[in-house]
Amino acid sequence: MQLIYCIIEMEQVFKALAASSRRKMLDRLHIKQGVTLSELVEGLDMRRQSATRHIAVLEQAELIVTLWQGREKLHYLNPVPLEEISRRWLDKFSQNKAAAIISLKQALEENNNE
Amino acid sequence: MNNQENVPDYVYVAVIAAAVEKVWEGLTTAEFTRQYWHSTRIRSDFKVGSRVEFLVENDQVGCEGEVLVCNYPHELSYSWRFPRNPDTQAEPPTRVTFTLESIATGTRLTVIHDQFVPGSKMYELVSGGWPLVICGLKTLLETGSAVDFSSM
Repeated sequence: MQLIYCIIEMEQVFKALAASSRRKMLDRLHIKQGVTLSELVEGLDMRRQSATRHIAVLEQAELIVTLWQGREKLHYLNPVPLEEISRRWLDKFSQNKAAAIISLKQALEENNNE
Repeated sequence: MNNQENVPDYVYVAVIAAAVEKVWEGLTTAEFTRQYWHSTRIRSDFKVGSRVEFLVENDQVGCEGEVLVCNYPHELSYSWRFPRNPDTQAEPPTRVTFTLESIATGTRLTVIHDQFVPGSKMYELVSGGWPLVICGLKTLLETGSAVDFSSM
């Protein structure tokens, strides 16, 4: 029972991450947490209705958490489901190697952009 | 950090397949915390105003605070500072709040860390830490296996 639940949960996370517009929203929250809907979608070329739908998908996957602050709904990035995914496939040895490869990739790509 | 007043800085959520009482035990007993919380042992009687300490090796206090709210088993809040870290020593304590909500599949745990001062060093220090801690608690309670922090 517990296992079935976990699988559904993970499917929702991958589904939520499958759209570039939703990944862009997560990028924004990674830079600044606790923003309103209009701040979150500003300049994203997206209708408010479709933005609300995308946010609902992200919320269902628990990648976005919302809090009411007075009359404002604030959005936060919740990285916990991503941590679970990373734990599932990265064991303690490969985790260090993967981190090294990611920093190398970042360093090389930064050099290319200059 | 968020510059608007009273706006929480970090909010994390995890759905844990365990009863709220079990999640509470996971957050408040040393036997549990040492297995997933960077090997630290929590110590407090969890009465409002009492001290909360996270003991590291040689019983030194790695992190400390004061109980602000304790409503078993649904809400726990304490202040939070690192007494031994020279970068954050001068900063006023921040606040951590755990909310445990009973749902059909277990517990929905929300962790809010706020009250950072502008330019806080602690803000950066804790940013990557909570997902590891929360995920560690989830893994421990759901599978019974501890997290190996030796390589992290």
